[in-house]
Amino acid sequence: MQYRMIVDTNQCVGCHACEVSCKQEFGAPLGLFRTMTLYMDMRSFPKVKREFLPIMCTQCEDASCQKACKKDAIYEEHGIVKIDEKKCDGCGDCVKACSLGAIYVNPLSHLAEKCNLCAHRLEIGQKAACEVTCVSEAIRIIDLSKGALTSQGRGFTMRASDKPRTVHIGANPLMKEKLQSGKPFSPYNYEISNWARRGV
Amino acid sequence: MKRRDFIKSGALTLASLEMGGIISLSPNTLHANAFEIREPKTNVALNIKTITKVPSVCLNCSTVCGMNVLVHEGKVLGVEGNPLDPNTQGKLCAKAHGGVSAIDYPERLVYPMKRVGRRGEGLWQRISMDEAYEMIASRIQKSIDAGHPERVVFHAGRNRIGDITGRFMDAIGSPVVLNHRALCSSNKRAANYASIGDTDWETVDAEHCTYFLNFGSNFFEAHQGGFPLLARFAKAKRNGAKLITFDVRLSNTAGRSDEWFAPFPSSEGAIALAMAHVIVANNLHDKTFLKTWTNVTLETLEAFLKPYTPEFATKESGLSASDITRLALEFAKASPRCAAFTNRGSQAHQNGFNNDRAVILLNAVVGSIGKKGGYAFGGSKSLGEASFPMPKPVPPKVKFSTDLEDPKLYPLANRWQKMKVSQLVFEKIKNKTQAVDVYLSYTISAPQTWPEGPSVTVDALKDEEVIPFHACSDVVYSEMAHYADLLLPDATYFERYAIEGRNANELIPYFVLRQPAIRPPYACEDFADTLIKVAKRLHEPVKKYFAFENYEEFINLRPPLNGTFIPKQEQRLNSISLKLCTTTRCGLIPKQPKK
Repeated sequence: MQYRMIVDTNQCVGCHACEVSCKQEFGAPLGLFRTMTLYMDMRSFPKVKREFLPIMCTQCEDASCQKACKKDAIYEEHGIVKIDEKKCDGCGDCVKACSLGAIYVNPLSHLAEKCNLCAHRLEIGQKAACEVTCVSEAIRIIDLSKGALTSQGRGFTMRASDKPRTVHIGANPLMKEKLQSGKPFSPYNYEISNWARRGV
Repeated sequence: MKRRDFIKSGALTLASLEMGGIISLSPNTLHANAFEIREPKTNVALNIKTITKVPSVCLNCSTVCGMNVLVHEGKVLGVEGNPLDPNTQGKLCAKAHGGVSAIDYPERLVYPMKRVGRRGEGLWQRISMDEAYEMIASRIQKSIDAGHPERVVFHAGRNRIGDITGRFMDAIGSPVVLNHRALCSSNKRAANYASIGDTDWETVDAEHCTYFLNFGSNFFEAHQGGFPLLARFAKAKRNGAKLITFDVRLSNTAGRSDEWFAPFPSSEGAIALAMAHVIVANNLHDKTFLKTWTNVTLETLEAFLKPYTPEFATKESGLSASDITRLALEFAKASPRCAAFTNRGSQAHQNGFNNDRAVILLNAVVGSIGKKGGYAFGGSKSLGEASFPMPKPVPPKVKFSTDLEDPKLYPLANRWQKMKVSQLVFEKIKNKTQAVDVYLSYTISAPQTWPEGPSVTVDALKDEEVIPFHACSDVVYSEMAHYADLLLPDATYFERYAIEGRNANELIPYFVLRQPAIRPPYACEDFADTLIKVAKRLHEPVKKYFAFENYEEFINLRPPLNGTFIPKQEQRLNSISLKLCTTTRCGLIPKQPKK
């Protein structure tokens, strides 16, 4: 089994249901998210087009978080980069290493947490929490042994050296201006209600 | 001991309040720090294989989407969409998922309490439910005995248990049921009523629609019934449908539209009329539809539309005449798979009634009403009472009305539903237009939601002379609760019953059953049950209309009529055997297609 997530930003309607269903799935603490939807307005009035980018851990090959972990707590299985809770000590090295900022350390359990494609659901043949609730079918997780990856789209990267497994269709590269490498998805680090391009 | 020594402050201690204990509460201060009190807890992921799914209905907004409540060891861990729900087909919005927080919200009301300080001071003493029932019942009985049942006033927002609240008010003989309609959807409903003769939500056959003309609705984020519409719009969009949005604000809907226009506020009606003008002038109107289904002649319509030229609309709206003309022709050419709609958009402004009538007219002009992919009307809700008859004996409808809920004079008087004028209620109470003995409030937080909430509303609520007794049922300590004399701890929508109906986006009327996934905690009680217990303490003839134990039994006494799917009794209603529901359709009561 080799799982791959495909995010079609052209379909996304910016409703944030994926984020909240994900928080619910894992009981994520207040103010911390495993997935986030960024907004950006392109062009100017009256021809404005609003773009969305659902972003979460992209399950990199040779992941920088994996390399940064001194406890050997991060490993890859079936195309999913996972965190071993028994080995993790919550030091936060992986948080700083991720160029997307897709990892946080849970302040209550002191464990690093991030998107794992809902591996516990995939194991029993269920869809991931975000995929199942997405009203516009913008998120899909496929098993490469059962179907081919779309030829559209590409990995969304902050660094040339990143090798994401997740494929984003139609993602606007300008969204990179908004992402803050090494800082988790949280209202403390992001203004998700800010639609303008950063610094414009 | 000084009094302040035993007054506990803050809702953190609400659940530990002893009988007779006193607490100080404020709706404006955050008492509980969520980070500190929320410990790591179990979650859906850890219990995915063993979790129980209870089919029920969301009520975090009035779209009432079908959902499965995910329960583990008596705790609600989350919700997921119910694939059997015809409207949402297994999808849920962010709000629905977030709604679970209401159950163990740190500041939830968990005991009945009576006011011990001045009204609005926030000092409360825990009492028993029996004392609470008695407080309400004795006062209502007094009003009935004095020959003034209309001095018992019930004020509610979207309570969704109108079957029992209506029965209660009918039984005691008071017509004064107040709501918030004029602050919400009056313009839209009145426009529908005047144009089509029904007042329910408007529906678009969105999945098959190819041209959406959206006047101010923001269905990507906030539209009533928006989520099921959004799901179908997303499908239509993949098939190449076009979305045009008129909105004064750049909403997500506007930002994702193929074209966005920002007309001057309240000028949408002028645009719609000008479009109709262009369509008729270009001979693109559906003459057969107009002749068959409208009560005007083609000549009358033509004469009516004559002055509303694109140039007229340009002056009113600021949009260019060429855009208006182009959109009108595109819209007409897409007919019948096109729809012009507003939902709660253009109606929520000056001249909203006439603006919305103009938009509905546009659908009639191109004849898209009732056609595949066109403008539909799916008010399955209106069939509710007939499909689920009330248990007998049914109390007679109250034969008189008062100026409070049903104004008699121009310009507010009309023959439509009662209470089109909720914005004036507190003004009237404050000015003693009508005497009030008992004021029951439920699912309404008027100090926050009324335009003059902090002034006139609070003035009236605070004044013990105009409102001598105010009982409020709420889940949390709201602004409304703050000005009550008696607080009743309500059950959340995860802990109670209701028969729900909504406009059917699949265009086949259906009903859903809300059923408890867990029992209400502490002394919390569904307000429906509270009313039944109060009614049982009232003298005849009130009592005889409440010959059932509780609201569960009341729902049980309302079996669906012929043509509806009847779930097995124990699966549908017995909370102990709820587990059985996971594999049945018991959360859903689909109706046969209308013939």
